[in-house]
Amino acid sequence: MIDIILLTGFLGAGKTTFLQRLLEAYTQHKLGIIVNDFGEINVDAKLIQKEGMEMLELSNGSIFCACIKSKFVNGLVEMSKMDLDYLLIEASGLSDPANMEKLLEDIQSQTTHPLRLFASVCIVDAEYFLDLVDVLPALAQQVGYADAVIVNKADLADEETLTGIAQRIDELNQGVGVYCTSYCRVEIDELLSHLKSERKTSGETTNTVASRPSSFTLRGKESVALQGLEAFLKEIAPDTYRIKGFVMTDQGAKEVSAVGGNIQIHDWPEQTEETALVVISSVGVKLVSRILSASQTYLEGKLKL
Amino acid sequence: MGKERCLQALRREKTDRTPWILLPGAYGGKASGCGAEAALRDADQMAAAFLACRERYAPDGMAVLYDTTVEAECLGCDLTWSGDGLPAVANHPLADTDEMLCRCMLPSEYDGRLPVILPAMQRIKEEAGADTALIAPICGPFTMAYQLRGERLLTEDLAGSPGYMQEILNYCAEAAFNMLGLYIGAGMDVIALAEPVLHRVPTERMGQLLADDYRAIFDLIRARGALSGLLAPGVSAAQLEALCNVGADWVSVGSALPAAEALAVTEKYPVCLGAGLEQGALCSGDAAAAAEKVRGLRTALEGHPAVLCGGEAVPYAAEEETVLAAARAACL
Repeated sequence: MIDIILLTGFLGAGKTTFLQRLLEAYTQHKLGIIVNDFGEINVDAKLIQKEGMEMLELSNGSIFCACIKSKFVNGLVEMSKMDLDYLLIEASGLSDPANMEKLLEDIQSQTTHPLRLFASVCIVDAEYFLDLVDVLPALAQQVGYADAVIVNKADLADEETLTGIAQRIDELNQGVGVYCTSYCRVEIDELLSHLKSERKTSGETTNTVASRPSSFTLRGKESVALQGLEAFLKEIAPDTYRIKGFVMTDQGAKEVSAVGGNIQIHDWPEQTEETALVVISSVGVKLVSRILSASQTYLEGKLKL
Repeated sequence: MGKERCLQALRREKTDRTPWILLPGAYGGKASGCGAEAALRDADQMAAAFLACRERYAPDGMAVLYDTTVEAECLGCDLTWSGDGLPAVANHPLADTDEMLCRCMLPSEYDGRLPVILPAMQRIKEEAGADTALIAPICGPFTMAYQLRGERLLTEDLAGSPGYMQEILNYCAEAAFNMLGLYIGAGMDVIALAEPVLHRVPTERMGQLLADDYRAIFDLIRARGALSGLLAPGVSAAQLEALCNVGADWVSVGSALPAAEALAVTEKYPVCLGAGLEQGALCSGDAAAAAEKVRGLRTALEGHPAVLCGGEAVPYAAEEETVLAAARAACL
């Protein structure tokens, strides 16, 4: 039996951070990983790449949507052939896991070792959850189908907001364990041994293409000024759900992660020969004009769509 | 010389005469002798049709093909071929549903007739690209949405479903992004959005409905190093005014809008006007009359940022001698 731990949560909530914590905690176990990234480039896979680990990357959509579901199913079957203790699945930010158990039932006859959904952990972004949960159906579903919920970035929200979040989570999933923290610092064993005992029955996923926003990839082969990059990101971030990627700058390679107005730029220790930045628009295609204008103004046009 | 004249006009620079742009459509297959369908489905015949028209009519710029069903075919529409003209869309995949197509259906180089069109474009670029401005019309987002949705787009969505309207136009704009990337990659100098259905949008809705999507497309064309156009046959002067400020370098109108009236609108904006002969004149068999009309157009457009180019393709039924007479009048 291979136990699946499924990680869900909105773009930038902290799924990859939590996945990294799981990898640190489970070094003595045999792990497989499936990383599902929304954009054309699988940024998350790069962030957690480790030698000797079985990893499958699925990009360009949600694993529960018709677009790449067949690749996800094939990936599950392939992983089931391996000698694994756990299969960690990081779903993309707008994934709706409502049909996960049904999906596993349907492929039972194809798998070598049986696959069991051991835990569905939802990471909630304390800063944006209340603004988005009623606008994006997938977010409510992620909480609704969770066995445990981590309210991450709690340091960025006040008491009133955190209370509101707790209430909303209870409305969506009564009795689920809720852990308020920052940087997904939780006692993993504690969390995984106190999962909600009864999960909601599998339902239809809301992952249709209508719920999938436009995303664009910026690339470049020349370094850009770090100051210019900061100004560029500040300009376009308000019109995006998420920005992430790796950028070559005059101060070395940087990892970029932005959720709404919250922009983080960190040193990236690995060699990178090309900038690749995925931008998920919250305003549709008109973001293209803004990106092009901002790239010209702050980056000398060095990043191109 | 012709290429530079054409591109200068689209950039609104002074030229020695008003350039003329030929949009042959299926007519190219008639000119080369292979027929409409072969010219639109076979890379060698497509290139041969282009080169035959270029040789015979000597335009400054020319469309490699003008067929708004290319994208529709990639997106799942069936086509009917009649043998003597452009194909027509036979069904509307979104007519009976309020869902949207999957983004994995957005056109790629492997879809529909693109595996034929792209090599033809590359060959045409090699053989004619130095002297003739290469124009690649792509289906505009409104017309593409109409092909996917059918009449429901106009009778239901336009008035009653603003959310769906925005979604389908957004999707079609993304399809246009893919197409322009492929065509510019194949060496095209100018990308023009072909919108034969656009005139059915109420004037007061045009800007609000389409300006942002158009601007995004034209900005992307510019960023990729090409010039841009909008082919909008059938639009009125008021509709033309709404289209002058969406970022296109050039806007072509149909013959129903007199050139002088169109110029009075476009002169207020940083845009080049395209005006041409009505399709009927090219099918009339009266070469002298067609030539006279072209000379009249040239007089009207002289000294203005303009090109001789209506928004529609040369009809398959056009008489060869009439087209030749019109071409000579355009160039002399």
